[in-house]
Amino acid sequence: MRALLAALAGLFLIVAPARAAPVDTGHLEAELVARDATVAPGSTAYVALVQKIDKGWHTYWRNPGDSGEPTKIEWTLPAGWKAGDIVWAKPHKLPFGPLTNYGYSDEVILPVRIEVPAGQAAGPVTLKAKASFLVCEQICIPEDADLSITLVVAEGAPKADARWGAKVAGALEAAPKEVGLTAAYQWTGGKLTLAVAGAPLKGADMAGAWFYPHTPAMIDHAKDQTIERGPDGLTLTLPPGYAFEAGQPPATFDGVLTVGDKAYVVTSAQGPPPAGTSGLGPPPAKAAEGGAAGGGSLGLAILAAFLGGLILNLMPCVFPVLSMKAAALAGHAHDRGATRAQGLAYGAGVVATFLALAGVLIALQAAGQAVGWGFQLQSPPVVAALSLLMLAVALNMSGVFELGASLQGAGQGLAGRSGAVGAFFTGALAVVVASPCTAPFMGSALGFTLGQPPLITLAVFLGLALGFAAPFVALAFAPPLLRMLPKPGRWMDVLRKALAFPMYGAVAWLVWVLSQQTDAAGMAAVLAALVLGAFALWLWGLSQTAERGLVSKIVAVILLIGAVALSVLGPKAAAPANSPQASSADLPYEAWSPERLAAVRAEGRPVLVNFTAAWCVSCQVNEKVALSTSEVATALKATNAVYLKGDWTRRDAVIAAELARHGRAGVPLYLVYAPGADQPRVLPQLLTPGLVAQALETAAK
Amino acid sequence: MTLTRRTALAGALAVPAALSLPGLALAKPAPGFSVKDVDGKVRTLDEFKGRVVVLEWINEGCPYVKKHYSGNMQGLQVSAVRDGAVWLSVCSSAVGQQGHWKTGADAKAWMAANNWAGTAMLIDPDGKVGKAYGAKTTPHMYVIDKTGTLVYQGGIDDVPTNKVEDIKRAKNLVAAALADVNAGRPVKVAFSQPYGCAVKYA
Repeated sequence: MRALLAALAGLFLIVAPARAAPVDTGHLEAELVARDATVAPGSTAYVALVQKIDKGWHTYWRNPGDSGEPTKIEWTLPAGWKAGDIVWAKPHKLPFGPLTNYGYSDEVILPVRIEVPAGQAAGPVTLKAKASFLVCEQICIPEDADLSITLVVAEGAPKADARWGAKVAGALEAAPKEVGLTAAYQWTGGKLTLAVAGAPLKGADMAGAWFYPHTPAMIDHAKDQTIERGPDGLTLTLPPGYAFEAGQPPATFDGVLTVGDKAYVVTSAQGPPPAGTSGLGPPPAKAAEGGAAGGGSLGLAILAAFLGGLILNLMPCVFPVLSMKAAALAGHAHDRGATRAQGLAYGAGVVATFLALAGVLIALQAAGQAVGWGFQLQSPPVVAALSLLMLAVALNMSGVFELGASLQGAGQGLAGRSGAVGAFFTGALAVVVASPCTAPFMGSALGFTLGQPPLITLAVFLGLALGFAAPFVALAFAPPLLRMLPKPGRWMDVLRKALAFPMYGAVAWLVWVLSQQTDAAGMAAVLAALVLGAFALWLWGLSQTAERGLVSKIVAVILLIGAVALSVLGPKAAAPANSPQASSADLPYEAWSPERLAAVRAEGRPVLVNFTAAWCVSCQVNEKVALSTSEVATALKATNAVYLKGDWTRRDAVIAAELARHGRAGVPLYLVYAPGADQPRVLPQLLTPGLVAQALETAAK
Repeated sequence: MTLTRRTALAGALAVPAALSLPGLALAKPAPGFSVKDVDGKVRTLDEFKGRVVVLEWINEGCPYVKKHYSGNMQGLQVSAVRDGAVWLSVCSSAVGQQGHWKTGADAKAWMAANNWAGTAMLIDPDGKVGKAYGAKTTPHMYVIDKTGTLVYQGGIDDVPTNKVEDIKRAKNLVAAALADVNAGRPVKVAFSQPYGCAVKYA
């Protein structure tokens, strides 16, 4: 019997290493456990300190934060054995009033690397450790425990411990590790940023990302860390701690970056940020907080989008299209059914086009492109094609050619099915031309939306589309309003031909936009395409009245195809012959760049920043009526301010990133930096000279 | 400049609900305060104008405070006061929290029992003084020079543990700062990481 017991005991010893029972130190239960049931001489083993912490209490990470003390282990080892440092598990934040600590609650496994000497004889070996830790709830209690564990040394591959093997291996796996991230910090002008890039961060959801520095004096733990996403990583703006605020910045700035469930060890030195660590704005939740949409809830964003859509009808770039709508509506003012059909078709066209544009935008952003709202006008071929399309519409309104069966039947023909189709495309065209006019309300709504999951983005764009379509659709469904319009007659033809001229104006505008984007050769190609297109459409119109117009029709189509090809293939993105752009020539400005901005801010001068684009009509209006006035020029001089201009006419990732930083998806954006202030003041999207001058004077105070 | 900063600080004091403590950069004027001592007498920083002032955040229940009240803190109090400095202990524990004394008599009983040897014990249950200074731990130490400039803030020494036996191997940074101030030298180590229990703010 005794022999049997001895044999059983021996068996037990081999199968599972004997360990001291867990020690209850008062507010936690401490225990040493092993990953391996047997360890080989000359190998590396892992044992772990397990803390089962009472509910509501916590222990501390290697950097305890504002107060507290990390857990320590002092080993007493047999000759030749070595113990490494604690492999710290991912910490979490422990807010306490105005303070923040870093540590653990519930259960934490803290593995320690153990080197088994090569000459170790087989058999049990006992490792002793004194673990001491501060356990805190509201109050703090220092506790310690004398622990030991007996490992079984045996040749051959180690066997996992039945009870703890998987858990310790899991803790090692989950612990923050070096994963080849590249990082650099910047400390300029009182602002501390840490940019981190690497494969594990590519496309990661950065919401809630947090940097836990290894040493406490690096940052103010209780303050927020702001996140800027990039295609390959992120940039955190951190509240600097004493280590930065007092003189020399530290040589290295290391810690643990947590992103979702993952945690990575980051080591950084001062230097320029790695590529791809900014440009995509804050994570969705943060964008919602920062958005000017007023709280940023989805409902509010949709409402703001609806209002923005309504106001979009009044923006200067929409006017030519409004004229088309008016012409179309007047044509059916007294045929209620046809009017309603047209209204709905127009609404459908608006909605479909907005959603399609949103889809393209989402797809491009998903592909890592730094694009924003109005992006479609940043491509010269798109602008050239649009100008040709607008010319076709204008010629149609001038009566050069007709859509539908014949000249005589135009009146009735449009009321039928083709009328609804026409209205649908009117809606589509209106959206395409209106989109660069980032109306007030719309900027923040779109800024909110571009960082959101696709479904939410689409919902916000739907709000925008409904707002945009609402006035026209309402008119089509409101007989009292319609009755105010005069009866159809000859005046309609006159109105239509008169309203052709805003369309010619739109063509002229688009050609001017193009002149900012392409060189003289490109311009020549586009102008030739316009003349060719006009000739083709005139030929088509001729064929509609002729007896046998088939030949001219064929020639017209061939010429039209040629015109489209010429307009799309002709202009290439190139520096315009006469850059910089001529608008607001009388106000001296410098080109915006983050470096230039930082430099002039360092000089302690107020800065006015204008993000603009040639295709943005509201930008041009603001430059004309506000920024190029003598009042603003005087204010700039009086306050010794610097005027920086960021031109987004062509695609520019750096400007797109800056717009995103301010919760915007497009231009215009006007900023005034007061000397020494952290954040600029954002001016409204519709400026007056007095407003700009006053903002500059306030900033200079 | 000083005036505007004082005004700003007064503003900060008026908003005790501030969520985070501003880390005070050094070589700045020490924030003024007005707070009652254990006798119910209102004490201000201004009354010690022209003298070196040591501020010590205290919570008698905190193991780190107990560690240093094994004799280390009292020794420092005696030598600082002997050299002409003013020693103000500040208890920012909120009512009902660890370290808060219900009555002045309770506080004085503790002070007598522990041979406390400072100038005044200030009771700051709403945390106004603590938040103005950004006090994070007990103990958290500050040294203000004769011009009213904050010249040291941080831990009492450089071994951040709760074990009494570690005191003898630690460098006392408050003693070093006081020695620098008394010798008219700039303070060599002007900041160290404060360590201890979190201040038990409301």
